[in-house]
Amino acid sequence: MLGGAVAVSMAGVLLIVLGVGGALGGGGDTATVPAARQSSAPAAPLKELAGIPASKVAKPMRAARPTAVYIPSIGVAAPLMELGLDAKGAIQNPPFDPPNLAGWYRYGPVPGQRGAAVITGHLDTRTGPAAFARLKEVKRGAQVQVLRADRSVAVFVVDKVEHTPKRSFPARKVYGKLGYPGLRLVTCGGAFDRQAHSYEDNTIVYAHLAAPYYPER
Amino acid sequence: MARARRLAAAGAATAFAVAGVSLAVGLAGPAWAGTDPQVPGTDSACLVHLPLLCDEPSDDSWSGDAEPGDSWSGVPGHSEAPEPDDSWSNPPGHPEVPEPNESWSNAPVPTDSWPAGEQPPWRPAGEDEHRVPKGHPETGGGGLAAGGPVWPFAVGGAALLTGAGLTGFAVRRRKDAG
Repeated sequence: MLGGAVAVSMAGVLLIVLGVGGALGGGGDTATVPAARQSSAPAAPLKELAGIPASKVAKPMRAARPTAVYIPSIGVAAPLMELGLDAKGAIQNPPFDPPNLAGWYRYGPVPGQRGAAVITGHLDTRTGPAAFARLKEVKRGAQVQVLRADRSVAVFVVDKVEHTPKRSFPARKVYGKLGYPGLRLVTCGGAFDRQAHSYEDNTIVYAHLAAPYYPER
Repeated sequence: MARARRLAAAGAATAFAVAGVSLAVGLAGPAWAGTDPQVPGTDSACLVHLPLLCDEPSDDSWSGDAEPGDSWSGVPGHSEAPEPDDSWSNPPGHPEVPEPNESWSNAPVPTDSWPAGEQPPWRPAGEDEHRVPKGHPETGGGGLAAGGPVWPFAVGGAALLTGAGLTGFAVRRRKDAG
């Protein structure tokens, strides 16, 4: 008798496991993922540059329009667009489409210049992951490479990663003046408030310019 | 036999309680952005031509060299360097820490004019154009969180079926005893 009860229970557990596995493996949400990946064939190898001194701050670089950001440790390779201010004075956001797009804040220093340059990217779109979906996984010491229109690469090294509630967003730390070339990467994080349709936190990565890199022409 | 029946009944009650709690967590809990299986990995890359392919000349009018009076901060986190959040550079002759936005102009963002039909030349924003945006970036659509966690439903469902099995056992024992 006891064996029968155990058998019934185990069968129930097995059914649940199979059902959950089927739901995770064949869900509609994943249908958008292949499309997102298809749209982005690597144009350059994603790897951290060797010989970059992580413990020093490089002198500022000449101003040049940033065009893409690479974070090799988490596989980010996102083209950049300019972001300004909206009518309310808030920073504009990159569009959801293409999801791979990130943006740099126009009314602040350019990445590589002295000061805190700001790049934002979406954590996700309404249907799937976006450019900065894995930003929270970045570790201190990781490289962030900003490619620029003058063929140079501003190589930043991560100082710290911060998760902060949106209601207490540290605007001073993110946008404030710096005495050295810095970079802030910002995206959303934490729990998703379905009513407000907004994540409750921000993930902020702080980095400093470690070295300029000029590829051979 | 009676002891086994009581044990089965107690187990069934416990299982039903676990099922209720788990399902409640699944229905009422906050959604969190998951990552791994759906995240663009190392096979993602730029859609635009990278700067290595661009021929736009650099801005030679701007000198990135250090100027007299400049003091470059060291690496944050190291002995000679400030932390990112306390590295406000003081202007020469002003030892006090400035207010965060005190040197940021409140004037409207200047607009440039250029001949019609031509692309405006790119230039970086000058310091007098720098602005601190209001609020925080809104950089999420909820696509990773829309589904919510699945594990509470799995646990709840398994607990329900376990409770049903144990209940059936207990009832059958009771009939047999009667």
